[in-house]
Amino acid sequence: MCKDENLYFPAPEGMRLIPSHLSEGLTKALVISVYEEKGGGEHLAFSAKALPGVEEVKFAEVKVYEVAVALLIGHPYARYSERRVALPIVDGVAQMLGRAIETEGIIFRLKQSAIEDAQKTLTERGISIRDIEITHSLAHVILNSLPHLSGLSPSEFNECLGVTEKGGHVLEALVYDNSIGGIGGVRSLKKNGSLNPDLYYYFISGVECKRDCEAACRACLFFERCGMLNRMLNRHALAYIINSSAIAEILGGL
Amino acid sequence: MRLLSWEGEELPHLILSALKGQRLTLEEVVSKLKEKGALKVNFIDVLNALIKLEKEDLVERIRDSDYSPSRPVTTVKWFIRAERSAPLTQLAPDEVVIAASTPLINLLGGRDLMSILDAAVSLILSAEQGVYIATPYADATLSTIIAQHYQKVAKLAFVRVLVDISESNVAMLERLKFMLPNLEYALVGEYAVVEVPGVGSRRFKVRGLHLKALAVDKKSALVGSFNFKEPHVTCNYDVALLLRGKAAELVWDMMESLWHFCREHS
Repeated sequence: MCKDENLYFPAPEGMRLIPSHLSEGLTKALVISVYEEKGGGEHLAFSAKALPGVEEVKFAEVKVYEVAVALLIGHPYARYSERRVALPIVDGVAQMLGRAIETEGIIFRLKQSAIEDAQKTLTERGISIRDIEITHSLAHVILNSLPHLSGLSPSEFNECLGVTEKGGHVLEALVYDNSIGGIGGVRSLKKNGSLNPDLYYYFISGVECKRDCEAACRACLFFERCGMLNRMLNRHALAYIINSSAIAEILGGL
Repeated sequence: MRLLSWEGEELPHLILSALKGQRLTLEEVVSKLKEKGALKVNFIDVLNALIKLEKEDLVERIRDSDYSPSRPVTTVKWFIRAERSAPLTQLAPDEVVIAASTPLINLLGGRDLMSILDAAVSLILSAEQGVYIATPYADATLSTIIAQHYQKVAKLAFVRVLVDISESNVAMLERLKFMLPNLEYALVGEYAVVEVPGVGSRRFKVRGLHLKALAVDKKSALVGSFNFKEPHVTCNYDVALLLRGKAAELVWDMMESLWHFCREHS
C-alpha cells in the first residue's frame, strides 16, 4: 500500500502494516553472473598456514557478465521467502537487465580436497553443505573487509563464483570493483605482491560470529548487496578453509 | 645483490637493524629489508619475526595517531625496546657489539645500546659447557646474576671465577660455591713485602688481576672496563665489547691459561 509518499508492507503476522521509505532495499535483484580473466593476472603470496584451503590468490583484470533474472520486492528487512518475485515484462517479453563490465578483481581458488574434507567432516556431524556455500562464504568475507580496507562504500564491490570445467565444482570466488576499469578498491587487497596482511584480521571475523549464529547473519557474513540474497552461506564451513587460530598466532594480538 | 632467505636466522637480525632509531610500519620494515637485499621477504614472515622479537622483549609496537583499528596490521608501528638490543643469538658471526653500563646509557640517552649486564646474562644463558668470569672486585651484582639463573648454570661443566684477593670477594664466592657445586674460584694476586727505609715494611702488588671479562664455550665473550659490583650498575661509566667467533675464542684461551696459572700458583 502506498500513502503519503510512504510504502506500507503487511507484517509477517498480518495484523499491521510496516512503513518504509522508497529505497533501493525494496527491490533485490537476483543476479546470475559469469566472468573471464583478461590476461594472466598476478599471483599474490599468502600464508598457507592461515589459509590452508586456498590454492591460489590472483589479482586480475576480468570481464564480468551480469544478468538480473528477477526482482524480489518487499520491505527492506524482509526475508527472501517473504518477498514477491517480479519479472519486468514489457509487451509480453521478459526484459532482463544485464551488463558486461571490464574491471579489476581478486580471485580466490580453493583446494578441492579442502572442500571435500569439510563436506565429509560436516556430513559426519549431520550437516550437509555444498561447495558453493563454502566459496560463497569466503567471497563474503572479502566483500565485508573491502569497505574497511579501501574506504569505499559496499556498493562499489561485487562477487561472482566460478565453476570448474571438470566436475562442476564451485571452487573460485571472484570479488571485483563495480566500476568500469576498476576504482582501486580491490587493488587495496594487494601489497608488494602479497595479500594485504590486514585482510587476515577480517578472516577471523568471518569465521567467528559475535552473535554465534547457526550459519550466517548480519554480524558475520551477510553482505547488503549480495546477488544471491545472502543465501547459501555458512561460516562453520569456512573453518576448513581459514585457520583462525593460525591467524591469531600470526597477528599476535594485533 | 644478495638474496637472503626470509626463513633464515638472518631475518630477526635484519629487522632489528632496519628498526634502529626508527618507528616503522610493517610495510616500511619490508621495504627496508628489500633495500638491504632481502628481496624475497613477505609480510607474514616479517610480521611473525616481529612478534617473536616482541615476545623476547626486543621490540615494541605503538598505536600512534596514524593507527587505524580497521587496518591493525599495517598501521601499527614497531620500534626497538628501550635500552635493549639484539641478544646473543641474533648477532651475526664475528659481529662486535658495544655494550655500556646503565649510567652511561642514561647519560647518552642511547636506546640502542645494549647494557653490559644484559649482555652478561645473555652470554651466561647461551652457555652449554662452561663459563669463565674475571672481575677483580665482585659483590651481590655477580652472585645475583648467577643465582637467578641457577637452573641453567647448575647444568654447566664449570663456572670459573677469577677475582682479586679480598675478604669480601671470598665471602661472596664461598656462599655461591655452597649453592653451586660446579662453581670454582681463584684468587689472583701476588704481593711483595718490602722494607722501605725510613717508612717501614710495605706491601706491594707485583702480580694481579685487572682483567674484566666473561667467556663462554669458546664462542662468545665480553671484555671491558666493568667490575661486577654495585657501582657499575649505579654510577660507573663502563663500556664493553661483546665478541663472537675467533676473537671470542682467543679470549677463552687467555682466560683458560690464566685460570690454570693462578690455580697452580695460588
